[in-house]
Amino acid sequence: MKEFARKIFQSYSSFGFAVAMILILFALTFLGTLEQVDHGLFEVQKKYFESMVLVHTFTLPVADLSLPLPLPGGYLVMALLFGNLICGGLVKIRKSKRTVGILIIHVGMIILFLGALVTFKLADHGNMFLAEGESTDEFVSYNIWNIEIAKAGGSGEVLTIPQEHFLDLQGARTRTFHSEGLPFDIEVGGYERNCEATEAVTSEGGRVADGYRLQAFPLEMQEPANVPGAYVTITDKKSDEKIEGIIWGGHKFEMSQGWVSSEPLTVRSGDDAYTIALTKKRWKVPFVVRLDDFIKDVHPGTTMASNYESEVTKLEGGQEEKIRIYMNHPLRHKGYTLFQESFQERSDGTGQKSQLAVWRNPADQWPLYSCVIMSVGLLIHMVQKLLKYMKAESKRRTA
Amino acid sequence: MNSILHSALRAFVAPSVLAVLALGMTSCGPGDRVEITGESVYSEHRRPPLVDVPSATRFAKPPARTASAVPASGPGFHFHWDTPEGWREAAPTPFSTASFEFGPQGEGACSLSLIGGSLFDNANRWRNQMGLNPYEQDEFIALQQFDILGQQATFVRLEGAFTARGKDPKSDYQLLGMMLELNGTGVYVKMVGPAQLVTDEVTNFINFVGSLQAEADSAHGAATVAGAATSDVELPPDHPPVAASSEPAPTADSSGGPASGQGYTSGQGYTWDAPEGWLRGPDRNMRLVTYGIGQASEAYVTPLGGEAGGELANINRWLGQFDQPSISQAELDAMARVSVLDKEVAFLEVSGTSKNMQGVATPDQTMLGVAYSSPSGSLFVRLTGPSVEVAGQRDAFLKFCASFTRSP
Repeated sequence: MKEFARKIFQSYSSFGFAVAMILILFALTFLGTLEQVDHGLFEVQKKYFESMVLVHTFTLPVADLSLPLPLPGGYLVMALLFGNLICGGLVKIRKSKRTVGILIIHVGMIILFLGALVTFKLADHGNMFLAEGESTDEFVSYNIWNIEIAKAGGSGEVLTIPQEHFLDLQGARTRTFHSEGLPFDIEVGGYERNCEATEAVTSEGGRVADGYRLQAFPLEMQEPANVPGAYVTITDKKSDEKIEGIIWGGHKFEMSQGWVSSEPLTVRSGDDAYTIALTKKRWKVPFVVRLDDFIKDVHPGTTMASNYESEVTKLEGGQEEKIRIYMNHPLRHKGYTLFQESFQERSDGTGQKSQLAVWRNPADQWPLYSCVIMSVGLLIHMVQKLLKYMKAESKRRTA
Repeated sequence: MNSILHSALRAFVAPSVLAVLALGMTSCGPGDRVEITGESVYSEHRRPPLVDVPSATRFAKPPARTASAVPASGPGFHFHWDTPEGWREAAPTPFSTASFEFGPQGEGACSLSLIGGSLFDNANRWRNQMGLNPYEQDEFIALQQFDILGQQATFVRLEGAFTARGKDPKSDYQLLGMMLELNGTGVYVKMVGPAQLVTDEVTNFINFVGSLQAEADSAHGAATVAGAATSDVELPPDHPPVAASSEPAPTADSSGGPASGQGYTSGQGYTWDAPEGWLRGPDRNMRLVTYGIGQASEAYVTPLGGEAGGELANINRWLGQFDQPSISQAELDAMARVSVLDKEVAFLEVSGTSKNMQGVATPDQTMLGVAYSSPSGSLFVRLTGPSVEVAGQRDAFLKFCASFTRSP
């Protein structure tokens, strides 16, 4: 048994295993890139790189044949490669002065892998829109949706249902959500990832709420372009009365707001009104950003932008700091990074809003640390090799 | 020392790999009744949501998702147009009033922009994007002119390596542009994409430009300025010939209600014969055509790209809507056949209680269906309705399926 375990360990920690994993990663990247043409970046990332296993279908040009090929997913391969690096590069490797450089390089690579894991699991990213003079302390996800329930005119507290709890509620599947603080239960069902709320025609049949139904569309290649919707049934806890409604994430561009979601469904219970909205996830930042000036340069003789940047004030704890955000010069503070992403304006050039991309990534700088560590390891190793060569050469000449 | 290090690292390996794998597998779904535990607070900088907003306002359609004739604002104008078949509207950008993409992978783009600067400067900006030297004034003046929106519009056709801002040049590209001044504002329609694709889309470009209508804002006076009729637009002398567009587009029915008569019998490269008594219904998303039959039945055709899951998977999906068990490939092969396009495909007739996507059950229903699946494109034809009504339409449905042809 011990011998068997030793053999497994030897194989797993071998250089050949690492090469095999890297080749599989190469194949996944190649096949994923091809599939991206038809299915878009988001779907391909999920299928090929964030998965444990997947099935890639080769379509043969002859006889309409399809050949399904099961493959390990990118997540599984990288996890195995991570273990292989530890076993082979730290545990099994002979430890001496001569292998110090190699060990350091492996430590750098492991930090790089850990950074990727932390980014995948913990990073948040989205954007914020600001007109000159406007302030905000939150940013909005590109593609993560929540259901938000709030009491109108209340303290501002919002109950949120994360999308993991309703993404699977397609077709006839439903799930009931409840909270002690709410006078009603919410049953969610008929979720569509990309749809439009359209006026119902009575002869069509199917589920209708307040004269509207959800009409499904094929998924868009670019995930942020998908607009989800769901049917909700509100059941009053006291009277057991039921109300049918639709929540829809349809967004439209408003100059004063940027891309805004459809107004929420209103539910009344006694004298209180509650709003239920399907809206993109929002995160708070621990400081306020105010846009003081948005600057756009244009190509000579036209109104086409050649450069654009934002002059903002960061407000925190009564302190103000003026910062310029422009190409390759983001605002970095408390783990958040704000980049100049784009801007919106009317075709006559008025109503400008700056669009800032926001990242919160605990492993933001880990690739840098990793590269520095690997560089040090490489330097040590190469210097050692050079010295060894010079020593051998000198010995050869004197002999 | 070495052995301690070895032991420590070995003890670390298994848990770390297992932890990474476990993180990837944390996907157990929630139950049927879930307590809401997520909480947040509205930012004081965020507009509070409005209450008691009627559905009609909540679900007002965003412009970018509407099929055609979407108005867009320019300085002093609202623009209307007909979106050519095969073009997909994209969200407006900071630089355009309306944007479209076309081509199998959206490689082609067309935009309507209202921007400042002289026509001459903007034409030379386009030439710069195509890697060409600027026009001389006399060259620009000599360019082909067309009557668009009641104005003299300059037509530009450029070939070269296209360079979008901040991106690498793309060789063998073509740019078609139409530019004019309307009440002092430059109106630009620009189409750019791989040369052959743009050549194939010339008809649509001409149709789009010809369909443009500019409606003056009330503050700027009245009147609607219409684009030139397509037939009035002459192509430049060096332009490849363009086939006349005699077919009405499948989305041409703007009423949204049932049309009287059978309506068009071609679209998206397909032609067919509509059986007697079938009444064309309003256009529906994803459908090539819909026919109303009798009191409560409808036949509809859905064209999709590629194999769309294949014949067996789609037949089984339809069987599932009637709570029928799935069939095997051998059972599919043994089914009655009907000739559709270039091959014989299985003819499905299933009756019982049908369930729609929302799970609503309707008893005594029948579905007739064929699922033509091919790498070059799939065509699904179905007729659904009350069994007593569908029974009398079986022959008509089979003839309808067999009547389809596809242009190469």
